[in-house]
Amino acid sequence: MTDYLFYLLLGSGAGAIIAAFGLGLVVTYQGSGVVNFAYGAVAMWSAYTYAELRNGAYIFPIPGLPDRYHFGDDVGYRWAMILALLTAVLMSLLLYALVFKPLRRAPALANVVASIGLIIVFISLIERRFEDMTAIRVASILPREPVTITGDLTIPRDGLWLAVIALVLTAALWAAGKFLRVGLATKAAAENEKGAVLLGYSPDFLAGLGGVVASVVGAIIAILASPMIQLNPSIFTFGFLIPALGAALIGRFRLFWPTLITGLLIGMVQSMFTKLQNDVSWWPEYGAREGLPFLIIIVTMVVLGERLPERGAVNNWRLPSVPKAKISVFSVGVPFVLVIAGVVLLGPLWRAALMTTMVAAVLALSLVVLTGFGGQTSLAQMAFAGLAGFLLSKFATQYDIPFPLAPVLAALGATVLGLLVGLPALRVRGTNLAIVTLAGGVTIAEFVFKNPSLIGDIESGGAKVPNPALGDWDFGLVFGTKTSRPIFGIFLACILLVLALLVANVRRSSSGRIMLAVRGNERAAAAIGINVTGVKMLTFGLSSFIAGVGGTLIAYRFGAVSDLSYGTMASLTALSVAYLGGITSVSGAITAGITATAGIAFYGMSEVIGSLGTWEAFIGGVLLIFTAIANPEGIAGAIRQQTAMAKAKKEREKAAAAAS
Amino acid sequence: MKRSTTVGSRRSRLVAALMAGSLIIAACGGDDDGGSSEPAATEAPAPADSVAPAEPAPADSSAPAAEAGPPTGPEMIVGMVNTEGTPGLDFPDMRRFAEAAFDYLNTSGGFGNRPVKFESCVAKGSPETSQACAQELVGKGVELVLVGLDLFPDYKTYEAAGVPVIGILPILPGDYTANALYLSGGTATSVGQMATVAKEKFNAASVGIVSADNAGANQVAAGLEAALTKAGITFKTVKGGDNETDAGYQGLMREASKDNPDLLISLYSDAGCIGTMRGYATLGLDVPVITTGICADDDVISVVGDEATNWYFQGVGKDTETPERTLLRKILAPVIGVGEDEVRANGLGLGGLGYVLVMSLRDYANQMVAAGTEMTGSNLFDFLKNSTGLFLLGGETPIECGAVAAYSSVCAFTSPWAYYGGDGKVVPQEEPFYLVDSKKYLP
Repeated sequence: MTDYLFYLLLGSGAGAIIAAFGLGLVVTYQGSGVVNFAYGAVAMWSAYTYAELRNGAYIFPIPGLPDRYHFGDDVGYRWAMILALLTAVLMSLLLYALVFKPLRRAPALANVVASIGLIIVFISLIERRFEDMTAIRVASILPREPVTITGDLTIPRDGLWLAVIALVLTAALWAAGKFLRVGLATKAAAENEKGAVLLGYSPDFLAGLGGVVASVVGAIIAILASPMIQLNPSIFTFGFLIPALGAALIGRFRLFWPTLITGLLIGMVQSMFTKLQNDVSWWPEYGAREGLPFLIIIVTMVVLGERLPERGAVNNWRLPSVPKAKISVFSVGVPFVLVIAGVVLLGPLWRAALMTTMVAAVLALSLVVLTGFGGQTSLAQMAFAGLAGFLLSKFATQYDIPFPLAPVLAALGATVLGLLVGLPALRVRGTNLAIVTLAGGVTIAEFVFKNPSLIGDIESGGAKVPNPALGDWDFGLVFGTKTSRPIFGIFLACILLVLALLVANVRRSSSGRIMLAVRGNERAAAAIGINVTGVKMLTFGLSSFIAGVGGTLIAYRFGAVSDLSYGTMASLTALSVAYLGGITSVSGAITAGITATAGIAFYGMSEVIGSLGTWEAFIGGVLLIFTAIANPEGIAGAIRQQTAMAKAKKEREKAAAAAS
Repeated sequence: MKRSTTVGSRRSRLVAALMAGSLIIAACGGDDDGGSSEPAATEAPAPADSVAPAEPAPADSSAPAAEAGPPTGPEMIVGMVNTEGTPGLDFPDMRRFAEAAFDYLNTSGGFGNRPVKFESCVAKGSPETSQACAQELVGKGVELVLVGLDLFPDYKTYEAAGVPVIGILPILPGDYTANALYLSGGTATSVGQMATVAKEKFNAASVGIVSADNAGANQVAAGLEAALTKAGITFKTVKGGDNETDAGYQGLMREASKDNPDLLISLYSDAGCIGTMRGYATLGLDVPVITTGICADDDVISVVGDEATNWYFQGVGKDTETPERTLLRKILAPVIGVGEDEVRANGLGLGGLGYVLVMSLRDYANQMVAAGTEMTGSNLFDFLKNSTGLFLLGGETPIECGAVAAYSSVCAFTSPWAYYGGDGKVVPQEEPFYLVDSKKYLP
């Protein structure tokens, strides 16, 4: 028992980081209604700022400016802390003013997309500013002398100190929310913004203040924790942020103490897994450490969730409008013919970009069904695609299942998992559902994508995938001495056409209308006899099947599957691209494919303006943010709006001309 | 669709591969702190820092004592794919240093007496961009493709086009059996060496292993377990997170050492080096630990100091001045933008891999031409694959392409070892455990 206590306490430091990040996420959400996925990245910047100040320099985040101002010597702990915290404050105000404020009235997904852009921006900034060394060890701040538990069991005390600090921060935030007018106003605004306005509180002020407080909390913890870890761009951005989202979820993005307790528990229990993995014979060999906490979070949310939303519940997950689906020779036939012509006539590199576009469009279609029509969200879409890819490899190489049975079975396997991940949707909604599916994606990645026997090892040569073939007719991309066969592009185009027609017909059918009804108001839909459970499961099932098909297409294209392509960031990026293209229509999915990285738009741009050099990722992140702000309903939505406005103007002019 | 992934996971995989990017080690030795990303910060020690071999390397033409004139043969187009421009996956120096080496060769002897037109393509760490690079290079009529750091080399395209592929560092499982040749053994061979050292130096009957729970490390751990089993050594594996706190590493080391094993093996690299070393020292352990050369990096040793006592490092060679180093300084100084005296051969980071790749191939090309074979990409590939008696740049690490059928693309199975010798110094292991061969216990 002492051993278990030892490991629990060893995890207090990691738990404190998770808890504090969870608190920051809660504060941000309470202030602005935004789940800021870039929270960890901002905290990371603060930690690097501190670290560099201890080396005698201050880093600037703006490209074009000198990368640092050199003080010469270590500015000392106090000044480094003050300057780093001031940086955090300024950064949060800047980000609110430039990014989140313009998106205050936008659908919640627009904020998700913008925060993903911020993640890319911050990581690339670190890469550029610390070109020679991004992994840094910071000198100790908190006392490190060991604390003796019993006889020979000692633990470093800095983790315990960090846990105490997290506790103090929680108490302070709780007290502010209970006893200060601004804290009460923030809580009130989170429930009903209009009420807060009537009481004289500016939502902008509350949102900005929440962002500042959250940034300071994150910066304090990141700085104090940095001597306990090796600082690198991903540790705060993803490593601690994702479990922090889980902790905030348990706290319902509202309650500080449950968030703190959950965060501490996650860190401490993960530490205990170090011992459990050898003490317990049935312990999973791979993925348990990161995956089990998420599994527990998912189950907890399902248990705590409501089958139907409460009467009058505020919808915190507003989505873009869904246009009608028009199927005509012009809207379907012409693009299809153009794509085929492109695949046949263009050179290999343009053809490759066109293929990337088509696959990206398929993946975007899966999100059109789920999010556009169904009003649900999944941040695990690429996990489904990856699973299908690995299943295809297994079916095709190990069990010799031929095409087209193998990819269909693989997609069905992804569907099963999609239904499992979608189960929480029966009781969880909006932001909470988004994060639960993120947890689901992480769980899949942990238990499946980490397992060498499932994803391939050296003995198997990785997860290889043979070319698609019907009998002797091989229509793979590479065959014999041919390295870029148009027939594969035609195959992709046909699959995309079938899926696009399927999705369009779903929209036009009674199933689509039922999905939209559930999306619009679950209680009303249930009241008129719609089987809300069945509709949600159908939506998740269809969506994950399409994502699975996308995964098999990727596998066929490259002849192999790698777990590296299907991580959390891949799912977030897929959602971003789908959203920006237009997540509520087939044309939006096609637009998403066109604008996807390495798709035809990107390739065309690179041909015209060349490489953007070392700042390419940074510029990409900025563009993502800008596009989310400029087109909060997606590019396709913006085009539709412009088209509708032009049409209305023309009709008015026509009417005026007729009248005169 | 940008199918990027979590930055950390790709870095983890790359760092795991760099654990045995140790062939460079043989030519290199020492630590480095170059590079722009997590792996680069703790990467394989610098290249081209070779030991003067005990015996002269057979037909080693790398000594620059008398530089040859410009090449007189027909131009040869050589392509290179390298990953750059993506956060966490940005290794431009590999391409730049390779290009610098080719620029030098074009004034001095060429590539088998052929001047080289160097065509590079930047992959962004995604399969799409790697495939696009393959298409592009094949379209440009390259005779040979060099793989710098490419996570998703499109072997199918190269094979269909009949273009041979030679790289420096296999990373993913598919690389080890691809139709390509790699001048280092990657993580696969490192585990064989660890089993050899465990068995034959330390006479270990039982081993405790600490490893991160990520896809790359899990594959390495699985390979290590198989190698230890082959060596008749029992083991207990303790898995931790990718990003532990120091306290977490202490817990891992404690659990791994709980049953009093004869030896500990740490598969952590990069961030885990300092944490595991500190945890080991805090627990007062004295059982020997073997780990990767990344943990012998200056940045690690300067932080942990004597906490690295009893630690042994795979893939760390001797640090001596050699004619190869002199040439390296001359070639790379203008690229780096410093004087020749300021070039730290053991501070080149991953860029050095590109230099070693080109200059090693130069040696083989010269030997091939001297033996009467026409210099072409295919001939060079076949020569490398089938010849014996070749060594990596510097003459220390033997090249034995295909020596183990299960790793058909791997050409190097040997690397040097070192240990922490006190006073902040990492010193080469004494013979016969300086150069360790992995083949005996490779799974």
